[in-house]
Amino acid sequence: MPSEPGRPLYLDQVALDFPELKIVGGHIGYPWTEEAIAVATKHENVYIDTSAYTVDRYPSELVSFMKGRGRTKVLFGTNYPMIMPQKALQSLDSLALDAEVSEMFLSGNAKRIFLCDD
Amino acid sequence: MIIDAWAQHPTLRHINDPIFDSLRRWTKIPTPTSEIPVSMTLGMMDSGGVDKSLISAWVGPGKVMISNDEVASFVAEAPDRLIGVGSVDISKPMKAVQEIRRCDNELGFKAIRVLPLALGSSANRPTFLPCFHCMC
Repeated sequence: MPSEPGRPLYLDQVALDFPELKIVGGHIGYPWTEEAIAVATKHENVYIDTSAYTVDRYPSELVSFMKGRGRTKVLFGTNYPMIMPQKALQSLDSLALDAEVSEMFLSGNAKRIFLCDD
Repeated sequence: MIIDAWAQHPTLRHINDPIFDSLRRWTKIPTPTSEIPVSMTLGMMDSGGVDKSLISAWVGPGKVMISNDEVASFVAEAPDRLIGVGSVDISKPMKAVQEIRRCDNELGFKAIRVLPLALGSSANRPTFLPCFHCMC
């Protein structure tokens, strides 16, 4: 099937129409990573998860985003059973995330988005 | 704590579906022949230090690879570790809305996973609007 309909930019209209809806874009949005970052930056209700990627394959622009202004916006995911959690997280230390970013990425953002009832 | 935001506890129908053929070739996942116990998924989570996983159903037009009821049964085996995510056929918006409500009100799911790409469609197609409205 074609990949183009999966472009992150198509979430822009959904996010505009439904600002109350929390939207998590899966699988990073590669190869449109900057586009995914742009949509997540623009909209308070849009987030990105890292499923289908091992840590060593995260695009550098996503890592920069996670460490900086996107620290509340990126969620850890595996797409298990495609990738086993242990393999996904093998190179986690190489990201050199500070404690706050690490906590938000690995669980804090997911807890806030999925597990806190508004 | 580590939470995995996108996972599936696979059924045989899911893991052996032809749409994953290229993925199986690439990742060299062996083809199982019997249903995989939830304990195996929990064991994999333990190996990776993952405390909780959001496990999703997988429903598409004419195809239910992992049903919402199956996900509910997996979650029931380990409710402190697994969190249910529903899936609906978004090409049938009225039925999809009913099922989204069931996932929320009866099955206790915390999210719905929507795969417009599986329909060859982008997320901003008008057909999907009732589902997005219902999910707010």
